[in-house]
Amino acid sequence: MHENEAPAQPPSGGQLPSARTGRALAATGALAVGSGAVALYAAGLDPIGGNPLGTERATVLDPDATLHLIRRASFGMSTALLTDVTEKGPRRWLDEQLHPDRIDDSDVDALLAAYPALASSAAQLQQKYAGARRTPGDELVAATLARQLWSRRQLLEVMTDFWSNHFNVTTPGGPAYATKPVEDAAVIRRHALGTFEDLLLADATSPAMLLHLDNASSRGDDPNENYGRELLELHTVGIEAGYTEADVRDSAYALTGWGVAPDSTFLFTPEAHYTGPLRVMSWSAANAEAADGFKVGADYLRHLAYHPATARHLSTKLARRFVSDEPSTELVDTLAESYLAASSGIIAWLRTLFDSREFATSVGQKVRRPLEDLVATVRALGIGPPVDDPVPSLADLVRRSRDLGQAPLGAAAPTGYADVAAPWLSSSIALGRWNDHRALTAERVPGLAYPELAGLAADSEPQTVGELIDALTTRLTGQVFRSDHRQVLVEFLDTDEDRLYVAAQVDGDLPDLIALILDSPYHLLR
Amino acid sequence: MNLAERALVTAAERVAADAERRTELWSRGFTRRRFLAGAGMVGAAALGSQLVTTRYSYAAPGTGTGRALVVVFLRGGFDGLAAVVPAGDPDYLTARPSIGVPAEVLLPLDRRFGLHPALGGLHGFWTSGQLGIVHAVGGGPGVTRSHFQAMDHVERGVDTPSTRTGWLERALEAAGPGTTFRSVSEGTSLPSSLAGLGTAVALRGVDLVTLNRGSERMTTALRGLFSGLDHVAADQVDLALTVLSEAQALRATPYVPVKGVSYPAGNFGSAMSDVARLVKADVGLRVATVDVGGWDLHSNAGPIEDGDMTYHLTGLGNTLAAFGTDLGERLADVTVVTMSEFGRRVAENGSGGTDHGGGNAMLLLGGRVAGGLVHGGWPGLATEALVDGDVPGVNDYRNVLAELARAQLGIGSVASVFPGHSYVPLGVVR
Repeated sequence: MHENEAPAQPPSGGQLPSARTGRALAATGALAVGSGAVALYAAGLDPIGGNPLGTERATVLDPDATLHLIRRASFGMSTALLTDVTEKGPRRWLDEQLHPDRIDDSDVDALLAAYPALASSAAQLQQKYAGARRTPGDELVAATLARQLWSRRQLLEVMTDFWSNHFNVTTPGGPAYATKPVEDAAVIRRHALGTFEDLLLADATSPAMLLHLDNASSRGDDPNENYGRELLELHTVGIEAGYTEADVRDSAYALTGWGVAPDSTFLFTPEAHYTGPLRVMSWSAANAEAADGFKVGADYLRHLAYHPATARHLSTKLARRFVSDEPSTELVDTLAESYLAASSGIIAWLRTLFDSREFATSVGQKVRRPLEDLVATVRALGIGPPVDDPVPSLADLVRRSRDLGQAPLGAAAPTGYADVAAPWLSSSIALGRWNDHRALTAERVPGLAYPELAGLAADSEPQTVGELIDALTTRLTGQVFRSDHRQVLVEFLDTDEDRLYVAAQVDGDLPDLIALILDSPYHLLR
Repeated sequence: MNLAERALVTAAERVAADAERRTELWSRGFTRRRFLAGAGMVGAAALGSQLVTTRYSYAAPGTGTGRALVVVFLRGGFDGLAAVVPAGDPDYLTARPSIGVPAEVLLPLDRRFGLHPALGGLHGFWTSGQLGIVHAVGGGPGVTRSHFQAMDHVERGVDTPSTRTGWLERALEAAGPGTTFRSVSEGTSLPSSLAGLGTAVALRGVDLVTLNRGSERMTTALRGLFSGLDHVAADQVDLALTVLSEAQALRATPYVPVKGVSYPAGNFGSAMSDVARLVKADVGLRVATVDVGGWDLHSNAGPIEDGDMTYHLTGLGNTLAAFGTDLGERLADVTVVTMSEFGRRVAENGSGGTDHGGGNAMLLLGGRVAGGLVHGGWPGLATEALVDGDVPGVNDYRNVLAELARAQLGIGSVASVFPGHSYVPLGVVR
C-alpha cells in the first residue's frame, strides 16, 4: 500500500479513557471506571461552551473525545469497539485503523465466503452473470453491508463507502457492471487508504466504470462525453473549477480508446484514440500518435489528481463526511494543503482531519443518514451475523436500506448519495427508521444472532427503573440522556425512576423502550 | 357525562391538539424561514401567511381549492427529441441515423411534430385536447449540461445560488395556508423544489404510512425525546407523527382505481396511483411531486421496437394515461407537467445514445391545459439554429411553470415564485 504520511504530529489524543468513556465502559462491564482526564480537548478548548467558529454548536451528545471519534470513524459504536478504542487509546486505535492489514478480520472474511463473486475474476463474473438470479452486484451489495456491520476494519469501511460513493457505479446494475466486485477489491479497497493518484488511475481503467459512464464505447471519430464530463465535475476538479464545454470535449477525447476487452479487463485500443492537440484548462498535449494514447490519458489523469481544484473538491467532501455539512473554508484549505503536500496520500490527509480543531469541536453536527442509522442500530444492539447461511438475513437488511432510499452502492445518479442531512430528513424516512428499529428489537429480521435485550443492561445490575434506563442508554449510545429525555422514557414505562426494577414488570416493554432509545437524537446524530 | 359524550369530548380534544401541533410546526418553519431569508431568501413579504387554518380543505366546486399541480421530474436528462419528434425537419434523421424515429411510425401531432409510438397511451388525450406540449424549453445560461447544476437550477427556479428554497415551496407560500397533505412528494425524500419550510410530506404511498407497535404512548414518547431540540430533525418527527395520525383514516379504505384502469407495475405507477388517491380523497392536496429516473441514455437508446428509450417512454406514457383516465372528471382540477434538467444533444453519439444537451420538451396533461397544441417557439434543427449542437431553449421553463402555478394554485403575482424573472405566459392554460 502506498503511504505518503506526513511527519508525525504531536499527539492531541491521550491514552486514558475520559470519565465519560469510563462510565460507558463500566456500563458494559468492559473496564473499571477510569479517572483519566480528557483527550482531544486538551488544546485549551472547552467543548461545550467553546465556540471557535462562531456557529451554533449546541448538541445533546456527550462531547467525550472517544465517543466522538467512534461516531465519526466507524459505522457506529459496539461494545467491542468501545473497549478496543478505550484500551488502545484513540491515537493508537486510529493508527491501527489507518493500516487495516494489521487488523485481524477473519470472522467477517469467513462470513463473506457466502458471496463467491467477491473472489471471482472479471471473466468468471461475466459468465456467472449469465442467467443467474442473484448477480455479482447483488452479492457485492450484501457483502458491503456485512462488512459495515461486522468488520473490525471500520475506518476502511467508512473510506470504502466514501470512495465508492465518489466514484459511483450504481450497483447492482445490468450485465455491463458484472465486474463491479473486481473494481471494489482492486480499485476502491486497494487504494482507499493509499493515494488518490493511484485510485483515480485505477478507477479510470476499471471496466465497471468504463462501462457505467460509457467511456468504453467512446471513439475518437464519435466521442461519448459522459465519462469525460463526470471525471471533471464529480471525480476531480469539480464544477467550481470553471472549465468550459470545449474542455469537456477534450477531456473525453483524451481518454478515447480506453475501453474493455472481451474478457472484461482493461484494454487500450489505439485505433479508437483521437489524435490532435488537446487542452483542458491548464493541461495540454500534442497527442500526435494514437499509439501514445494511453500515456496521454494517464498524464491527463495525473494532472487532474494534483490540480489545486481537485484538492479543494476532495477536501470539501472529506470534511463534509467527517466534520459537518458546511465545513469552514479554513478547514478545507488546511486539508487541501495536506493533500497536496503528501502527494495525494490519503492517510496523511485523514490525520490532518482528525487532528483538526474543527473535528474536535464538531460533536453532534452530523445526522446519520438512513443506511448509517440501520448499520449503527445493529452494531449498538450487538446483533451478530447469522450462524448459518447469512444470505437471506443480509438480503432482508439490504431491502430495508433500499426502502430507506440508501442501499449500499445504490445511488442512481453518478453524483452518489448526498452526504448532508437535509435530503435525508423526511416524514417517510423518519417512519422508516423507526420501523427498522422496531423490527430489530423485536427480532423480525430472520437468522441474525440477537442478544437478550435484558442482558444489555445486566452488567450494571440496575436496581431501579432509572438505573435501568441509564444502563440501556449508556450501552446503546454511550451516554446518559438529558434529564427531560430520560424522564420521557420513565413515563413511557408508566412508572417512577426510583421504583424498583422488576424484570417481570418491565422486560415486556424492552423492545419498545430500546427502539425509542434508538429513535432518539442520541442515536440519530453523530 | 355518559360514555358517548366522553368519547366525543376526547375526540374533540384530540382534533384541537392536532391542530395546535400543526400550527406550532408551521410557525417553527416560519422561524427557520427567517433564517433562510438571512441566507439570501427572496420574497420575504409574505411572512406569516403560512399558518394553517383548516384541517382538511374539502374541495368546494368552483372555488379552485381542489385544484392540484403534479410535477413529474424525469431525472437524468429527458430526450425531448425522441418523445416529441420534429418529423418534418430534414435535419432530424441526418443527426440521428441509428436512433431517430422514422416518420411512418410516429403518431400525428401537428405539421411539425409526431409522438413517439411508445407514448401512444397519451395520444387520445392529445386529440381530446387535454395534452399540450412545449418544445425547445430551456432556462438560460444557469441551466448547464451538468446534471447536478441544471437540476439545482430548475428546481430552485432562480439564477442566484444563495436562494435555498425551491420554486414549488415559494409557489405554495404565495398560495397561502393549507393542510398537512398540501404538498406531497411520492418517495423517500423531498425534491429541491420543495425545500424550504420543511412542511412538505414525503411518503411512499399512503399504505406505507404506518408505525409498528405505534401506540399513543409510543408517539407521545417519540415527541418527548425530541422536545427542546432545536434541530431540523425535530420538525420531521412532528411532521411524521402528524402524517401518521392523519393517514389512518385514508388507509382504512383500500384504493381502487376506476374500472378498466391498471397502473403499470413499478415505482412510477404506484406513485401516480397514490396521487390519484390523494386527489380523490380531498385531503387538500395542492402540489405533488414524483421522480422518474433512467433517462440518462448515453448509449444504446435504440432500437425503436424494444430499446431502452422505448422501454422508458412506454412506462411514462402508460402511467400518465392511466392517471388521466383514473381521475376522470377530476382531471378538470389537476394538471400534470413533466420536466427534466436538460434535453439531449441533437446529434447522436458513437454509442447509439445522446450526450447532455439543451432545449427539451415538457408534457402537460390536464383538463385545464390548452391541449392539442405544441406551444411556444420552435427554432428547428438546421445547423445555424443550433447552439453548441443543442436545440436552444427559446421557451423559458419558468414561463410554463408560472402559468401552471397561477392556474392550479390561484396565485396572483408570480414575482416571488420566480424572482428576477419577467413572466411571459405562453398560453398553455385554457
